[in-house]
Amino acid sequence: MFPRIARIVCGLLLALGLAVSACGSQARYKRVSLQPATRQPPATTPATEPPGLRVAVAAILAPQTTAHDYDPLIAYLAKHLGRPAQLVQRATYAETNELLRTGQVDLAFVCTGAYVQGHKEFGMELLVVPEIRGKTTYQSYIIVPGNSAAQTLDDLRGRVFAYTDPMSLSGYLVPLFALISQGKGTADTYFGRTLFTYSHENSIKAVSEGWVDGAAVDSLVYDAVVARNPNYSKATRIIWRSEPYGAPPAVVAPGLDDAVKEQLRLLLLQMDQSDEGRQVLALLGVDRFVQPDDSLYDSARALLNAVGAVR
Amino acid sequence: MSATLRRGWFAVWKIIGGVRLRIKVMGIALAMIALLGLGILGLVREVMTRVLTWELEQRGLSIAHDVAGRSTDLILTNNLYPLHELIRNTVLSNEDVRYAFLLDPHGRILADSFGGGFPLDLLAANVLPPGESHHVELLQTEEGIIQDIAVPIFESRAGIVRVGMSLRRLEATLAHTTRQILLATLLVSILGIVISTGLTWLVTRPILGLAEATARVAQGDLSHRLVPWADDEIGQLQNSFNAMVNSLAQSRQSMEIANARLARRNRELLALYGISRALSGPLGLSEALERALEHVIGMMRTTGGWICMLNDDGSCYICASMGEPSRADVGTACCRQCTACRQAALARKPIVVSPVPASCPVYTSQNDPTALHQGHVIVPILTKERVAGLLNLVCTEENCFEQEGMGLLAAVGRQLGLAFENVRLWEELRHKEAMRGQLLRKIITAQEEERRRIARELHDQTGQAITSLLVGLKVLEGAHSLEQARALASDMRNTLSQTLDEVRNLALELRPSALDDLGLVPALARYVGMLPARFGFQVDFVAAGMDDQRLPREVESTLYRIAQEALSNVARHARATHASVLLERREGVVVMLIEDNGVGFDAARVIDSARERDRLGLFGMMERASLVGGRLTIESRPGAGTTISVEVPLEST
Repeated sequence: MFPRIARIVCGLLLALGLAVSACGSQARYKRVSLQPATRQPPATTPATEPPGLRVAVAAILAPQTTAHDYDPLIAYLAKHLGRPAQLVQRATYAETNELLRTGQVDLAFVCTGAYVQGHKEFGMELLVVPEIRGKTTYQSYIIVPGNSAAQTLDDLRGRVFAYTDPMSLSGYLVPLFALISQGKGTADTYFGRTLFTYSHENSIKAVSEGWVDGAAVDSLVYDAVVARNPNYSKATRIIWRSEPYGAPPAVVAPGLDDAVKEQLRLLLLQMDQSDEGRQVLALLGVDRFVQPDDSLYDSARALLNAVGAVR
Repeated sequence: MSATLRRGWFAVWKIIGGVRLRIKVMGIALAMIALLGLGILGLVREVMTRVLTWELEQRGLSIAHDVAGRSTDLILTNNLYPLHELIRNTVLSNEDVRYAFLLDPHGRILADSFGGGFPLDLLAANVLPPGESHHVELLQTEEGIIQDIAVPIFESRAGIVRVGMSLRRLEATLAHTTRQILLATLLVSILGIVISTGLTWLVTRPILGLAEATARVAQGDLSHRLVPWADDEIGQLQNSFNAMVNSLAQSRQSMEIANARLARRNRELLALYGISRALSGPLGLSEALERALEHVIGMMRTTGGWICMLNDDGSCYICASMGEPSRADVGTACCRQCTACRQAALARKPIVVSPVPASCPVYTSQNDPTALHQGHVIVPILTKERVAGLLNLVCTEENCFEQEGMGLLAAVGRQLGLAFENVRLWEELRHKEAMRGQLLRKIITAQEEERRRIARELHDQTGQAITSLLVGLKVLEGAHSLEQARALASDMRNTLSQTLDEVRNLALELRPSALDDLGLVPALARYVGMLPARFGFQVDFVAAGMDDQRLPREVESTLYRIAQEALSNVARHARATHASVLLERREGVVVMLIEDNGVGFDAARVIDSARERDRLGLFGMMERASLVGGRLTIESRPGAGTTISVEVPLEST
């Protein structure tokens, strides 16, 4: 009788001991000091690396989409130029233009409006223009949520409206000009409230999620986004299309070495002649890059002037 | 091994078993509570650690992913200040976040929450393997354990977020919980001590009561009973105990009763033995009764008693007395006055008087006035025919005489009666023997007297007459003349006739031939007829129912002699002028009454004095009657004559 009781008691004590000791027996820890050592971490990039090509992409798309879409192009350029290339993004068109003006980037893919202004302000130089579905132009779309009752621009009066960027042609200037030209007053008075999303993709998302009642977006971006994600075709609806303007071009900083400039132009223009190049272009939704004529942007310049005159 | 265990257990049990039950129960309660408390503590700590760590990790991951998401665009667009703000706000708004920092794809610090200087150790402390969504590393720092979480930003293209989740709050929570549980355990332990003390008190109380009751039973106190405290095992034990004590008490009671009965029987036997020895011993009646009384008092355990004997005439006398009340207290009055005494005498069985009325002389004692006799039992001393006396016992308590003892007392009464009767009979027998001797001597004397008288008569009268006749004959022989002869012959005839009468009388007195020849009635008639001439008083004789059938010879002879003696006594003492004899035969008996109108006498006194003085006249008559199975009674008072009646049964003869 008693040995059994003793055994039970021993068992209980053992179990208890195990349970208590389990608290202490945790995983092995790495020993780390939180005492500050130095301000700067050691440089991880080798000092012998040749100076890289810096490519800026204006915030036409969301930064991640941009990075996703343009990284292969950067890699293509780096590979064919034989030197590292780096993608640089900034939150606004103005910042990108500033990078170009100060020569902090060599090559940039900017918005039409930004190009027109940059060209005008500090001689931003046109390098190539993307040809998309045989056209080098694009439009501004006014889109509303898929379930919205709005059929025309008039229906959006007094509602919440999203612009892309103050420097964006399709996302700001075109609808602004349309309102002005139609005598509907300025954007500030026409809509109930307006905001800048600083990216066409953000504007499409904002409309599709019903966040805003309407938005002006780049037709190229819209078509690409809808093509990539068909849900957007249901979630959004185009109620207005503008007349075509010159497509957002690839530009170079005014001070860029001509040899480099030509090397880049050639590289971009010939991209569609190799499978590798075509794959990169396909990702960007571009058929090929073509040699532009600056007159392509005259309509845009006219619009800017008109808007600027009004403003 | 098992033997060692067993020895070890014995050693432990020697200690555990030695302490009080209360301590044991308390110990068990404490041990259980402690075991439970520690078990719960261990379990809670384990579970809490796991859950909180997991939760912390999840939160850290969430924060890191959030920072990664929010920082992606900022990093891609090189918007460093909001990045710095983001990191700062993340650390500020999350108490558990010890640090956060962002590394660019080259491992350079983009933003960090350290402010002053960056601890370089951290950089290599958690390396995110390529392709993984996150990596968690536990770091032991001087500020405690830190969960370092690395999350890629934009698939590591934009860099890596590192968030350090401090386990300090978790540990504080754990410590707090531990303290709470320990405190709760302590409180419960105290409560447990209180409750177990109370419960043990509650449980051990009946057990202690049992133990105490058992001790009392062991000491012989069977009066104690337990009040069952509940309908549980202890209650059953108490009930069983009560039942056991009940049956013990019953058996002891019955044993005591049996013992008492045995002791009483023993006492009774001893007393009866003593009584019978006293009564059968060589002592006189009074002394024997004294001794017997002593034994009875000893047997009945009373304070005292006495024996009073009743005479035939109803008077009584104290024969033996012992203890209180004294002989003087009781006197003879008690035997006469008490209704109970009369009841006892009438009922011929013991009567108990309890309480004794204060008016009764038995109630108090002169020697000890404080002793009040509450109980009094009267036992009749029975002989065959009558109540010879009363045995009295008293005691100072009420109800001291049990009904059970009455049978014994009755038996004692009968034994005393028997002894009394024996003594009386013995004395009577002795007296009778003496009388018989005297009678025998008298008979012999009387016979000699009679012979002398007959000899004298024969010599003086018959002899003289015959001598004178011889002289006459001689004269006649020598008669001278016929005339002379004739005259002589005539004289001689007269003389002869006279002598013949005298001889006839003599013979008649010796034994009347008429009794033999004619029977009792003619014999008595002839005898009675002779009396007036001889004694000078008139006697009548009447016989009734005496037909021709003769009575047995000895009856006739006895009755004749009694009549002869009685009438002779009348002639000698009564100075009567008239007497009568009545003889009557009735159914189975023959009765003879002899009455006179003489002076009479005090019959009882005379009979007693006759016995004492060995007077044999009356006694002789009684003896004669008793010899033929009859009875003779004498009724007489001075101046009222005397009647003697004799009754003789006929069948027995």
